[in-house]
Amino acid sequence: MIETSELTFTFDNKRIFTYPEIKCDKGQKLLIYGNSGRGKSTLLHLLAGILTPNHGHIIIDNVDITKLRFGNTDKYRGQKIGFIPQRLHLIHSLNVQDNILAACYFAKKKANKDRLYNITEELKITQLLDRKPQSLSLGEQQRVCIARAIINSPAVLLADEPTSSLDEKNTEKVMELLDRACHIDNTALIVVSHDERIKNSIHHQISLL
Amino acid sequence: MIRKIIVGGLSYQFLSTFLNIILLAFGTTIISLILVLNHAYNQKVIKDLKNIDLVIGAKGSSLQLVLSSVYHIDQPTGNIPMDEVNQLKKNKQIKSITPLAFGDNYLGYKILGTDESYLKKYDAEFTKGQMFKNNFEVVIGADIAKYKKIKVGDTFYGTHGNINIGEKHNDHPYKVVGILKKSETVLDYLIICNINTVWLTHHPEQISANDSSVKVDELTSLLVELKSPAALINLPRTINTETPLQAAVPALEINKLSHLTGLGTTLLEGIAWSIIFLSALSIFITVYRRVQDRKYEMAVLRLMGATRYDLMRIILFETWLTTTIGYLAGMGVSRLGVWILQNKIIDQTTLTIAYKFTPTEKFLFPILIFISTASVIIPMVYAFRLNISKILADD
Repeated sequence: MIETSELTFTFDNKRIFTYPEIKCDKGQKLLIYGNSGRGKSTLLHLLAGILTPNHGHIIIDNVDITKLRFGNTDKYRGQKIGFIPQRLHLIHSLNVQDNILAACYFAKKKANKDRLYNITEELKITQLLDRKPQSLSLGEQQRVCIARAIINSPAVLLADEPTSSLDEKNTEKVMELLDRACHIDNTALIVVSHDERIKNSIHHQISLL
Repeated sequence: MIRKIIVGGLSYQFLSTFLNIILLAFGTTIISLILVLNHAYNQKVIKDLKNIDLVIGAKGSSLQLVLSSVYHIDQPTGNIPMDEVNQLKKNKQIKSITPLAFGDNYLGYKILGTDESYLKKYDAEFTKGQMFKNNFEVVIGADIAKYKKIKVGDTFYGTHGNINIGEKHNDHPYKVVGILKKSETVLDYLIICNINTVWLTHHPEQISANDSSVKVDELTSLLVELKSPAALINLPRTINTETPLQAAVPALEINKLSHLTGLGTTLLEGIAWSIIFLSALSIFITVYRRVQDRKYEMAVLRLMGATRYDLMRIILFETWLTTTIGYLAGMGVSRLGVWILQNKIIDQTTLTIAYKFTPTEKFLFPILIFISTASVIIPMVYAFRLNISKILADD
């Protein structure tokens, strides 16, 4: 589902990151592990098409996203990549339902109410659909972010440090949620983290040194 | 969805958005009202001047002569002897002469003695009745009929002077034989009869005499149409120096007047445009701050698949929506102003103000859109160049 080769990226014209090859198939989970400053988030941004690598290829669902130009990368990201940022940003003026469905709008996919219901049921946030994001707890916001990331049945789900600010109990919960979210469409999951606690949840691991 | 995002964006820092709308509306109102009034004034000046090259009357103020004989808003400068008029009729440079005789009013509306050529100048048409044929028959303007509820067949007595408090002429009543169609010219508020009627009102001893024996000795003024514009240069000078009459070129007199009132208009227009530019500056500041404050939301939109162009589009639509609301509010207030002017202030008098768009007003909206669009170019470029990776990594 997602595969990279010979990926390098120059950060601020100074540091050069060279990444190992990554492969994550449908339904598989991959943990990219490493301490701060190893270019973990940068790698995730490359995989999401937010950054363009100096060299190398990123193939998602048979399309090399490094070859896409202009708005096409954005469109492809909207359709094939779910991204859960480290800090949970939601659009404040929209309610929870519209926050999730906005992802369909920008991916130019039809908003499917049944799918929305299935996902929100799975993530236990159906009762929050009419609420504004400001009124949600952090945990609830994270669930909304997950729902938003998977509403378009992406080929790959990318999560940036999803547990960094959580206690042990919640860390487990979040990992379980991600698991469940990926299970719905058999989505490939890539998590970048420096959190030792999740090493047990994802066995397929790549360490950035 | 994009509509929700745009409306949501505008409701963020709502007071700033509100201020922008108020500024835009205020500027629009002033500009629109100036344009409407200017248009009405110019239309009127042009329409009432139709086919009048020269006004000839007694010596005095040339502006007064034009105002009294063309626009009927001032006292006449005096009377002119019939002999002089007959001399003028022989002048080869003159195409036509329309005689005017006046001095009385009914309920404040001027009773004007003239002939058929006067009505023809303004392409007058009748809604009811017909042209006067006999002495003391009158044709009345559309506005008088409307506001004073006068019908064909009604009779009334005139009052001496310009206003409704002079001495009443009780010798012979006027009889309404025709009502004119609204023409948005001076005709709308005139009571028109033949020259003999005006003469007989002031010389009642001749009333019983036959029409043929009525001898009109004086007129108030003449509206003259010339054969060629070239005559405009010499003829007025000749008349002014060689006869006891005064010739005034109405176009020149009105230009002088417009020049004076134009200063005020220009100043007001300047103020209105300053307000518009102020609102453009305010839009710039608001939108720029909003984009900076909401850069995380913008980044999230990009994560969801929005392109850089989508972000620009959102900013642009937010701005256009603000501008449109401001414009519509401004036009609403301006039309309310027109309504107030029409019904409460100008009521039945000289200026006809229309609700419809004036030609220049049509450009107002595109100009506003252009100005507001220009004011958000920098915020749009800022949004276009947002470094999503950096914003997400700065968390």
